[in-house]
Amino acid sequence: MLRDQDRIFTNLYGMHDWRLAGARARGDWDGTKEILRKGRDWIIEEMKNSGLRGRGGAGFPTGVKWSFMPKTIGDRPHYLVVNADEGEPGTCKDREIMRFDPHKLVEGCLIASFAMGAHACYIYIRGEFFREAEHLQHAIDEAYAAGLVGKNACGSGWDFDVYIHRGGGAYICGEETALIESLEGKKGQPRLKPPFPAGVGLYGCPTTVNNVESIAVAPTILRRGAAWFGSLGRPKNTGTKIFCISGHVNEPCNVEEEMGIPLKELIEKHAGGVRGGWNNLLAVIPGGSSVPVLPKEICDNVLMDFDSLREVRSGLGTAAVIVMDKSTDLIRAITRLSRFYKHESCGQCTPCREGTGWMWRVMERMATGNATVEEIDMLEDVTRQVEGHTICALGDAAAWPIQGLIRHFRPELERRIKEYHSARSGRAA
Amino acid sequence: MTAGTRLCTWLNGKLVGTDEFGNRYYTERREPVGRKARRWVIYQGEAEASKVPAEWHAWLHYTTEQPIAADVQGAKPWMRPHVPNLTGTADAYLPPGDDRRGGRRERSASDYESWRP
Amino acid sequence: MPKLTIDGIEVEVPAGVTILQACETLGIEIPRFCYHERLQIAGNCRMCLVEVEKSPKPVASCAMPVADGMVVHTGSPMVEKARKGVMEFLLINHPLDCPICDQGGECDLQDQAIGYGFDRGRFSENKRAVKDKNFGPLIKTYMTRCIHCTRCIRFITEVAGVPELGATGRGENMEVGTYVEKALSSELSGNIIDLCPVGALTSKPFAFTARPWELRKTESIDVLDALGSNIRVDARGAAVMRVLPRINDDVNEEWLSDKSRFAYDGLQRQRLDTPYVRRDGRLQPASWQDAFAAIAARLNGVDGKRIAAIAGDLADCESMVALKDLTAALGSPNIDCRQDGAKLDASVRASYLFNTTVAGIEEADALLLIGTDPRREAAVLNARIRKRWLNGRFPIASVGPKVDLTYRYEWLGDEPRLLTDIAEAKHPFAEVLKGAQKPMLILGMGALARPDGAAVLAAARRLAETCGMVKDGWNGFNVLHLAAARVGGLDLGLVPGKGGRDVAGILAGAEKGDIEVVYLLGADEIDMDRLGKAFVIYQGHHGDAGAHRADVVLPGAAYTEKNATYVNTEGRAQETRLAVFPPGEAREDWKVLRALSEALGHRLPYDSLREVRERMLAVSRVFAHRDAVAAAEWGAFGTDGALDNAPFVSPIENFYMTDPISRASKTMAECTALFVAGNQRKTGTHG
Repeated sequence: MLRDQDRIFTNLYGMHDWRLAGARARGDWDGTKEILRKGRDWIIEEMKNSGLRGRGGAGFPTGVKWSFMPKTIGDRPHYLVVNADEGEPGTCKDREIMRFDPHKLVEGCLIASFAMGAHACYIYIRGEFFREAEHLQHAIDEAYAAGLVGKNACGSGWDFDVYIHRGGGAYICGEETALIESLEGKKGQPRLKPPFPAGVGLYGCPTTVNNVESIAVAPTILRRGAAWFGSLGRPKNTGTKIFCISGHVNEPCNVEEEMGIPLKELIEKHAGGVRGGWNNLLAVIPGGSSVPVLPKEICDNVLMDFDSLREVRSGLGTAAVIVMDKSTDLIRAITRLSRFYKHESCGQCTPCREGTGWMWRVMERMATGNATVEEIDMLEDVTRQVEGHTICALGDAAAWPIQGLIRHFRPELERRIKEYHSARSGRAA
Repeated sequence: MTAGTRLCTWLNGKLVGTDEFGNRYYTERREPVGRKARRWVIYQGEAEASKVPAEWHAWLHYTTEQPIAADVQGAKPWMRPHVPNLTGTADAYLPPGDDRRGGRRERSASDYESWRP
Repeated sequence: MPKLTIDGIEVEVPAGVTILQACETLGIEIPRFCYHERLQIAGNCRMCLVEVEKSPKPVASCAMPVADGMVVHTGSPMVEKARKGVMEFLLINHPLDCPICDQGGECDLQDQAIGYGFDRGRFSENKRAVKDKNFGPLIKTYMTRCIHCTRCIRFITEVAGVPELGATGRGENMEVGTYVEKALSSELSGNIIDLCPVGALTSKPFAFTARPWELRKTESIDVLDALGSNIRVDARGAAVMRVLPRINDDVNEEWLSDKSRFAYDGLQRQRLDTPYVRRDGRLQPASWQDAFAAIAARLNGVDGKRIAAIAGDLADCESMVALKDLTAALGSPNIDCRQDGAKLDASVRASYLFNTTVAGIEEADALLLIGTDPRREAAVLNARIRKRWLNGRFPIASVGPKVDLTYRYEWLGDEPRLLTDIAEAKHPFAEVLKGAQKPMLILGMGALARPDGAAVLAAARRLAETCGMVKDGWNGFNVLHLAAARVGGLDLGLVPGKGGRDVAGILAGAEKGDIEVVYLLGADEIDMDRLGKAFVIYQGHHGDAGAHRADVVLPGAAYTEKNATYVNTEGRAQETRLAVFPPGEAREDWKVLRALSEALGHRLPYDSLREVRERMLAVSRVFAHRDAVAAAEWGAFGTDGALDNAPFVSPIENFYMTDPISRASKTMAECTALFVAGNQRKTGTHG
C-alpha cells in the first residue's frame, strides 16, 4: 500500500485549500524556477527515467512523447495541449485533480511547455466540467497574478501563456487529433496519422497532447527525482496512479495507489469490498468502458498495471475500475456500452460508423435472447472487422467490451438465447 | 407440292393427323431400320413453315413422340391461337409511329424542337 | 528516393508519395472510395487497407507515405479480410436498388462489390434511410445511398471554393448536406456528380433517361467558354444525352463548368433544321437551292465594299476560313470576328493569347486581374487560380468588378487609370509584381470591349513590360476570352482588310445604307436593330436574335454535330467530333459556305475536310499542331491613347446564359431563375 509521504495528489479529497496558498503549503510551485533552470534536456531525460506512462489510457511513455517535439523552434510555434476532456465512462480522476489540485496541473503545464519549447498551452476541458473549469481558471488567474505564468514565468525568462478551452461535449474529442480539430474550431473528427501531432498538430504546428494526470504528476516527479518515482510499482509500470472505483462496492472512491497493486487488494482495502463479499463478484471492467471485462477468476489475483492487464487480454486504460456483482445483467451492461459507442462514433470512417450501430443492434437482441447461437460468432466476427481498421481507437474501444463478453461469458449468452426461444415455443404450444 | 413429294407421299406416307388449318402431317408407312422415321407436312395452300402450330411443330421436330392434341388438357386461357408469320402481308406488324398507322408516336429523347419564325 | 517492396517487387519512388501511388506505378490497383488524386486525402473509407510488415494493423495506403525499406502486401489474407469487412460495412446500410439507380453501370461500389462483396448479407437489422436533400436544379440526391466518402464536401470546399457542403450529425446519423437546405451556388457543382462513387449524387437533367452502356461516347471539345475544356459527349440515337469532362491536365484537369455540362438540352430546342427565305416580309421554309438562289439574286451586281461578314462566338475555324475566302472572293474587306467590339490586335499573336497557359498559372507567383471576373468567364480556369492560391504565397489583385472569386484578392478599384499607376510604379501593388519571379496579369473582355480598348491594351502591355512579366521562358501577359471562336478567328485573320470596316463600322454602315448585305456566321450578340435595311444572311444552328432578323436563314451544325477546329484562349487548337448528325436539312458550316460559293459563282477551292484544313494551315501555322500550345512572339501592340474613366465591368451578367445554346436550354433557364434572379427559397434564418 502506498505510504502517505509518497502520495502526489495530497488534496484528492478536497479537504484542504485548493487555491494558491494551500497548494504552496502542499509543496506546489516550490523550486519551479530551479527545475526550469536545469534545462529542457534534463527535464525530458528525467521524465524518461521515471518511466511515467501516459495516464490517458494508451500508456505511451510520457518522456519519450515529449522528446518527439522538434529540438529547436522553427518558424512555427510549438504548442502543448492538455486533454481534460475526460469522458470515459467510469473515469473521474482528472475532474478531481482540476477541482482540488488545479495548481499541480498549471505548474505541470509550465514545466512541460518549457521542456517542449512551447510558449502557449491549451487546456481542452470537457464542457460539462463547469465548476472545475472555474477552479482551473481561478488557479490560472492566481498564477498569473503571482508571476508564476505569463511573461517571464517564475522568473525563469520563459514566456508562457495558458488558456482554457471548453469542449462541446463529444466523447471523440478526447482523442488527441480530434481534440486538435475541435480546438481549431472544426468538427471533432480524428485526423489521419501520420503526420503525428508532434510534427503537424494544432494549426499545423508541432503539438503534444497529454492527459491531465500525466502533466499534473510531472512537477512532483522532477522535484523528488525520477528514482523515487521509478522505485514505486513494477519495472515499466512505475509510479502511482489514481484509480476510480465505481459500481457494486461498498464505498466507491478515487484513490491514489501504487501501480501494480492487486485488484482484489485495491477493492477490499479502499472501496470497502464488493457488495455482498468477494464471492458475490461477477466481473470487473478494470480500465474504463473501452477495455474488455474480466471475470471473477481473473480478478482474484490480477495486478493493476499496464502489462499485467494486457497479459489477461484487457487493459489498464484510465484505471477506472467498474465492479459488477452477481445481480448484474452483464449482457445488458455491455449492450449499454455498445450504445454509448454507437452514439459517440464520429461517423468519419466506415468500419466504426457502420459497425458500432450493427454491434449495438445485435447486442440489444442478445440482451433479450432474441438471437441465434450462430449470431454470437457473427458478432465476434464483426468486432474483428471493426478492430484495427479504423482511423482512431474508438473502433477498438467499441469492439473490445463485446469481445471480452463473448470470451468470458459465452455460456451466459447461449443460455439466454435458449431461454428466450424455449419461452416462446412454450407459449406457442 | 411437287410431283415428287406427291408420289413419295402416295407411296410411303401414312397420315398421322390434320391441324386446325388443314395442314396434313405424314410419317413413313414402314418403320425404317437404323434411323428415325421421317415426318413431313403437306401444307394447305402456300408452303410456309410458320403455318405449323406449336404442338405439330414439336412433333415434326421429334420433340414429342405423339402429336399433342390442340385441345390438350391444361390448355391455359391465356394461350392464343397460332398465327403464321405475317411479314410481308397486309396484316404485318407496324410499330407505333409508322406512317401507315397514322405516323403518331410518343416523344423520344432524340426528338428536337425546331425553330419556327 | 525511398525503396520499398510491394508484393515482392522492389520499387523506388519519390519521397512523399503514398503507398497507394507507389502501387499504381507498378500497376497494382488498390480499391478506394474516398481517395481522389485531385482532392485532399481523407482516408475515411478504409477500403484501401494494405498490410505493411512490422505494423500490427493494416494501414490506409492512400494516406500513408512510403518509407525506405517498407514491405507492403496488397493481396495477403489480412488485406483481403479487411477489405471484405469494409465492403460489408458499406453495404449493410446501402440500399439494394441498383436496378433503379442512375449510377448503375458506372458505380464504384457496384464494381468493387464484385471483387470484395459477400454473396449474402449477414445484417438482419433495419437499414438506415436518409432524407433526400435539394441541391438545386442540377444535382439529384438520394442520400440513403451515400457512403460518406466526403469527396463532394472536399471538392466544393477546396476546388470550387464555396464551402457550402459539410457533414452534420455523427456516427451513423452523419449526413452530407448544406445544413440549411439550399442549392449549391458553385459554377462547378456538377463535378460532384462525377466524383460521387455511388448514386447518392446524380445528374438531375439526365435522371432516368439512359443507361451508361447504351450511350455512344465521343471525345470532343466544349465551346461554351473560351477555355476549350475537353469533354466526352454521350449520345443515344440522334440526341446528346449528357456531357462529361475528359481528363486533360493542361486545360481542365478533370473538371467542367455547369454551363458546359448541363446546357446540352439546348441542342434539342430552337434548332434551325431547314433553310428559310423571307418572302413578303415573312420567313418561309425553303430548299437549299431556293435559299442560295435568293442570295445569289440579291448579291448580283452588289459592289464588294457594300458586303460585310461577321463571325460569331461559336463559329469553327473551318467555316471561318471559308467565310474569309468567300468574302475575299466577293471583293469585300469588311469582315470581323469580334462581334463584341473588343479591340484585339490580330497582328501580334501574343497580344491576344493566354500566354502563360492554364497549367502555367500554377508556376506564377503574383497575379493582377484586369477587368475580368474569371469565376463567371471561365469557371474551370478560376479553379486553377484558386488551386495556385491555396498553395500559398500568391498575391492576387484585381482592377475591375468587385465580385466573389472564391479566393481572397486585393481589390484595387475599377478605374482604368490604375493600370498606368501600376505601370509607372505609383501604386503599391507594382512593388508586389516587381518582387515576384513569375508575375502574370489576366486581361478580360470587360477591359477590351470598350471604345478605349486599344489604349487599355497598350497600357496593359506597358504594365506587363515594366513589371517584368515578359522575359525569357516566361510570358505573364494573358487575355481571357469569352468566345470559343475568337482566337481561331484572329489566327485566321478575320479582321477588316485594307479600308474595311470592323463590327462597329459595319453596323454604322448598315444603318446608313452603305452596307447592303451582311453575312452573319452564327453572330447573335450584335444589335440587330442597327442592321437597318441591309439584306441579312444568317447561318447558324439556333433560332436566336440573328435568325429573327435574317432575310435568308441557312441551318448549320452545333459543336456536337461536326468535326471542327477551335482554338482556345491559350492558342491551343483542338477538335470537336461529330457525336450526332445535324438535325433535318442542317449541314456542317464550311460545307454550307462551300455550296453557297458555287451558287455565287466563286467556287471555293476545297471539297473535303482535309482540303479545308490544308487551307487553314496555309493561312496560319497554328493549325499544324493539335492539342499543343506554341509560345507566341512578343511584339508591340495596342494604341497609346487616353483611358476612359468608365469603370471596368464584366461582360457576363448571367453565367448560365451566354450563347444561343445555353439560352435555349431549359436547365440553364432554371439555374438563371434560381441563382441570377435570386429565387432561392428563403428560410427563417434570412430574417
